[in-house]
Amino acid sequence: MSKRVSLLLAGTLMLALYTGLSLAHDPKEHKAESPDCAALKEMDVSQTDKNDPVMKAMLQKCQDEQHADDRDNRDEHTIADSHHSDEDSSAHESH
Amino acid sequence: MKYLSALLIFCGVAVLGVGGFIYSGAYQIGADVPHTTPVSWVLEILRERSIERAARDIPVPELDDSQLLLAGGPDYNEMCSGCHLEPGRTESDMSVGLYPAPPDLTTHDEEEEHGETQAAARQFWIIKHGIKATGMPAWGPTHDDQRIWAMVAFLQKLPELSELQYQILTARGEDDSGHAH
Ligand code: HEC
Repeated sequence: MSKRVSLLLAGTLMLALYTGLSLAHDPKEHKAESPDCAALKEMDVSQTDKNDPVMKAMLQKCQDEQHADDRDNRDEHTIADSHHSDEDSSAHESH
Repeated sequence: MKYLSALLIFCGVAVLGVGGFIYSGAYQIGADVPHTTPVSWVLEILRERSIERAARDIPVPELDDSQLLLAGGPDYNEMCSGCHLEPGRTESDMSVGLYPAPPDLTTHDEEEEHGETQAAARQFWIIKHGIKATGMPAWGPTHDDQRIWAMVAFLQKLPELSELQYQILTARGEDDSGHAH
């Protein structure tokens, strides 16, 4: 194989990798299937059994989500914002 | 002696008859025509007895666990809900078109039929090994036992989940949750 052909191949491969990576990191893609945690916050959490695995799992999920948000988009507070206000209450007990 | 040869002739004719029927192509194999009653009956017993025997000695781990639900939810949503549905959805192309039809796992109460532990062991075995000629795939070759148990744990809760609960538990979210941090 000539040097030119292999250079061309390597270049194409790198370009393909680069586009793949940048597409995968488009934050809008992730947003599409974020859990609807805002709705969870509207529920009266105090009325529910905190030892119920389903409730516990939902609270955990929404906390993980918030941590991920804090890390990924420091200046793009969308979902994360809705949690900061009532951090104190039930959510932390589940840890 | 006379009776014996009569019996032999009868059996021979029966075997030839069944063989001839199978070979003739007269049986309706299309998924849009149900099996005849005797065939359904034979297949049902074959399936139930086989699963019961295979799943009998599978030890069932503790399934009432939030981490398992978080791990099993997204997997169920991506790999199974197309056939087995989700809260708020009563049919899909798969649930209508497959024969035998995939049971709606959002309403289906296994525990009533089989008892809690037996139901979980049965589901684990079915998910891992699949069921021949039904459209139910074996997930064992591509998923480890831990991941399958997580889906079994999720299935125990699925019939009681609201649409909102289902959405939150099954969304992959930002960082592929389902692990502890
Ligand atoms: C292509 C469609 C399809 C997909 C995808 C699928 N299944 Fe199934 N599943 C079926 C069909 C069809 C049956 C019924 C088989 C029968 O009647 O013998 C079934 C049966 C089952 C049963 C047994 C139900 C009972 O009570 O008898 C369980 C449990 C199950 N599937 C779980 C799952 C899980 C978990 C997944 C995802 C990992 C999944 N299935 C993916 C089609 C599918």
